[in-house]
Amino acid sequence: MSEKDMQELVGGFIQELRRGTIIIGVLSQLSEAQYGYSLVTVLEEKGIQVDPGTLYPLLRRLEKQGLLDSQWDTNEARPRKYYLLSELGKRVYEELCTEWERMSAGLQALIDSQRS
Amino acid sequence: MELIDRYVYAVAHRLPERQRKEIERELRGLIEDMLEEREGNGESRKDAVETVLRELGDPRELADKYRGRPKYLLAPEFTDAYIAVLKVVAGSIGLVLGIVFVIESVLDPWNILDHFVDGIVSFITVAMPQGFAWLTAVFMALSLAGVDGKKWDEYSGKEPWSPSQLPEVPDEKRRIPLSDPISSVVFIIFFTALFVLFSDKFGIYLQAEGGGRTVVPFFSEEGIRQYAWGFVAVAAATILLNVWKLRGRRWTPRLAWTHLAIQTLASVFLVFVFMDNTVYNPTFVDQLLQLDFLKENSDGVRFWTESAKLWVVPAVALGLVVDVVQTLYKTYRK
Repeated sequence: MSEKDMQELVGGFIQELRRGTIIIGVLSQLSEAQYGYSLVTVLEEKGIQVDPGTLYPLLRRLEKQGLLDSQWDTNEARPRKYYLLSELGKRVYEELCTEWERMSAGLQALIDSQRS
Repeated sequence: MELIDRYVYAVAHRLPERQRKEIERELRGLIEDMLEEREGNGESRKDAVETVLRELGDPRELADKYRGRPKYLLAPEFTDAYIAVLKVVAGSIGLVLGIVFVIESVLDPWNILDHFVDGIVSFITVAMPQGFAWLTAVFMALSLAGVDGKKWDEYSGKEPWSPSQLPEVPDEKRRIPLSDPISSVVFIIFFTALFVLFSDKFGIYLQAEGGGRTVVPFFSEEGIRQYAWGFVAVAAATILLNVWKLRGRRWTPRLAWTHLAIQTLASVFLVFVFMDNTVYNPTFVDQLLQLDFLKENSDGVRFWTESAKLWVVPAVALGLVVDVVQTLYKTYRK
């Protein structure tokens, strides 16, 4: 397998990992209202890359599932849709965090045990 | 900016009407935000638009993400059911047209090639396209209405999957090929129709004096009619038996013995009918003579036509024996 093919494979796996974890990232930042692009910037500052073409549809989906509330702000020059965690969203986020911590601790232990 | 309008339109027109307006507005906002950042870096607006749209990617993919799943006409969950029903529809249409062809050929054997061509043509040009179109329309309507196979199972109280539902691995040796029950059913329908409905048309076709055709039937219509109940009973039993074969598709002792019982009864019945002199056309030879098919009135011809029925017993018996041996072999071989 050529180096390029391998990089492609790795790229695919990384994309899958991101897809699974992005929801936690998004929910974590929405205890205060944010619009889509501000969320992209905030996440990127913290080193979490997210493609706006993925984030925008995701925000709509989470809203439809009742995890987020939304409101249009038309006062500014550009009308923007602000999203905020709903009560359900908060509880879901808490549970996801617990599960994530358990998972990452488990994985970390697995990786460490191999390295030592 | 024209390019932005085109991009937003390309995404929005792929989405359901009621979501379009809001997504358009949000998408425009996003593009403006992304442009602002680029232009802050000193890029020209034209270049910036180009880069931003490239970053957002193919509008078709973005629309798919908004929709949550790719666009489809037939829901993927329906694919298996669709193919299964399609096979049944094609098979039934073929079966019906086959029976029509056989009956037409019996009634009018002179134009057998025409009937065959007609049958094939109507299968390809009318029956299959119709069946295919209606079936597809029904499945498309179900997909469009968002009927969900899983939900359907829940409503209808279907039990959740468990290992005990697994079908048995087919036993190749005892397997009944699909062609076996289907050909049996076609044959029995043909045979029964021939004797019960068309016995007056089953015979030797000859040119009549007036130029038309006339038929000299082998059998006497009244003679056969008195046994009509028996033919129908045999046909009904055979069809039921073949439905059983189609459902199980393998030889089991119960199926085999039922099959043999029905075959034996049918054989006894056939012998009984064909040994009865009244079922034959009493004036068969006379009619042939009258129409000049037979040139001379010899005793030899009469003797042979009258003793023809004596062959019925050994023929039926041989058929039965072969069937018994075959069936028992298929059922009990190791």
